[in-house]
Amino acid sequence: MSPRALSLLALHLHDGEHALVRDVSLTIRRGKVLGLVGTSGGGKSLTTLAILDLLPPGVKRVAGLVALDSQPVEPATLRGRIVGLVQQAPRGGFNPLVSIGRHFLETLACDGLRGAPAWEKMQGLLAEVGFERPAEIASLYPSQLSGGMLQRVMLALALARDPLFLLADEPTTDLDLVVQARLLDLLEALVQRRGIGLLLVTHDLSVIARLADTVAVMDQGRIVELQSAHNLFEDPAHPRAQALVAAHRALYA
Amino acid sequence: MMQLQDIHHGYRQGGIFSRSRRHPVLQGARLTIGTGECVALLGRTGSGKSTLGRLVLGLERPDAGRILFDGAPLTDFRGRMAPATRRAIQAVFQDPQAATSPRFTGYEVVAEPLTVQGEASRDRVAELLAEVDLPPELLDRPAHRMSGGQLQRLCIARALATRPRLVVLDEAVNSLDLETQARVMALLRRLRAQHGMAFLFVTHDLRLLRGFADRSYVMQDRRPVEVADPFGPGPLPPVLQALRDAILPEMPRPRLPAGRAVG
Repeated sequence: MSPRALSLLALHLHDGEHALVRDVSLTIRRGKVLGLVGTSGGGKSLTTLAILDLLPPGVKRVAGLVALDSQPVEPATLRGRIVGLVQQAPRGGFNPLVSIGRHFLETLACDGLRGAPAWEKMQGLLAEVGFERPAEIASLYPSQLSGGMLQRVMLALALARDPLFLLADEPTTDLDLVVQARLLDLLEALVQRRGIGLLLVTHDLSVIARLADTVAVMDQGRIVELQSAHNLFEDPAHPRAQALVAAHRALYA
Repeated sequence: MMQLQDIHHGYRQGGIFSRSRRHPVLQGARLTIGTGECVALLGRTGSGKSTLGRLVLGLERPDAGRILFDGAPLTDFRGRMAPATRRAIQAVFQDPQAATSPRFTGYEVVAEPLTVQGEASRDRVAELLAEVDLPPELLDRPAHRMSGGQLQRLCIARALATRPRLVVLDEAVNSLDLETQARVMALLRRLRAQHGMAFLFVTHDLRLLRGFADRSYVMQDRRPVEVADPFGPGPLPPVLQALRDAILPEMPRPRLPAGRAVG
């Protein structure tokens, strides 16, 4: 049976001088959206990267476990097949010298998919993220696509190996409102259609309001609040969560 | 103070050797910014709003049309700006990491525009840091060890260094987290009240305009269209309507309890 939950247990990260993330535990469930919010520099991205053991040089995991249905697993083995990753600022995630199609073929080859079947799968993925003429996109280079298009391509790549979970780190931060709304519709459809478990990392509470079932609020490397999205907006408990909700509400005043 | 008259501008598409024609970005664009005025320029990604900002800054020359600053052409026939004009028009961009050398200290970042004129001094830079609510400790801290919010305030301090009359804010708060964004917006409001400079506030986030902009334009079909009240009832340009419709909900909607089969 395929796993139903991906958990991070008691994660501690350290850079040699300071504790960056302290005792963070999270559980992402299939078919659900867990939001992770907080000010920048609070440890959201590091926590996300730690799930796949993709920490930047100098940052050490001093404690913590990643588990699938409470079975501890080696984080690096989750990449691609079990857990897909979508990051902010999509341009940096692509090789500028390689066409979009080649990016897909390389990823699909991990599962032994080559030639016509790989080409077909790529077209399906690009269509799934909303491209009407996938074949045209495949022949283009990253510099020929807009930020919003690249963000969708990155999502299609993350889905290429049919992951059960998706980690999306600020997936809409650089996009304009219209593209953002479309991408969030798409993520919602993926959660519903594929039963993907989604970790949605953002500093924008309106993204949370749109999509999240449960929300974790992070501040200075700790989770200070964990509750349903509805309750967070109605009745934030921690002062940091209250400040965040207040800043968000002011945008709509 | 600043007038754009019937501007046409475009970029080459494809590689250096491709024969494709110029891709038009602006066609017949008109825009005015009065002294001390805060003018918002809204638009979708790729609508040409940043291009317009670059023209206002004199970083590019339009293919056709005139840009006037205080009634005189912004750039001379070789595309150069008079030094006084250059000092009068400053900019803050979206990505503060990209806009600062990571090896510079806070002092070096802010002092850079002043050293040209030989006006740089620690006192003057410390004064500028204080204006943007940054502590004097940052004078000696390298830029790569500052947070995004601190760096963006540093960029604002740098833009203020020459006492500009117009500051182009190109998505200047969009990469900041919510609370930092709110603080920087408050700071911009205060600085404008104190110094009376004009802003060209370029953004795609309609929500930021409320109580901030005196006048608003939206990029529609390669030209800015002035909108009396972006939040009022229509009729609105289609792009503005689309941006308004795309504003995400303030509060979570009640969701159906999950009963879907997965796995």
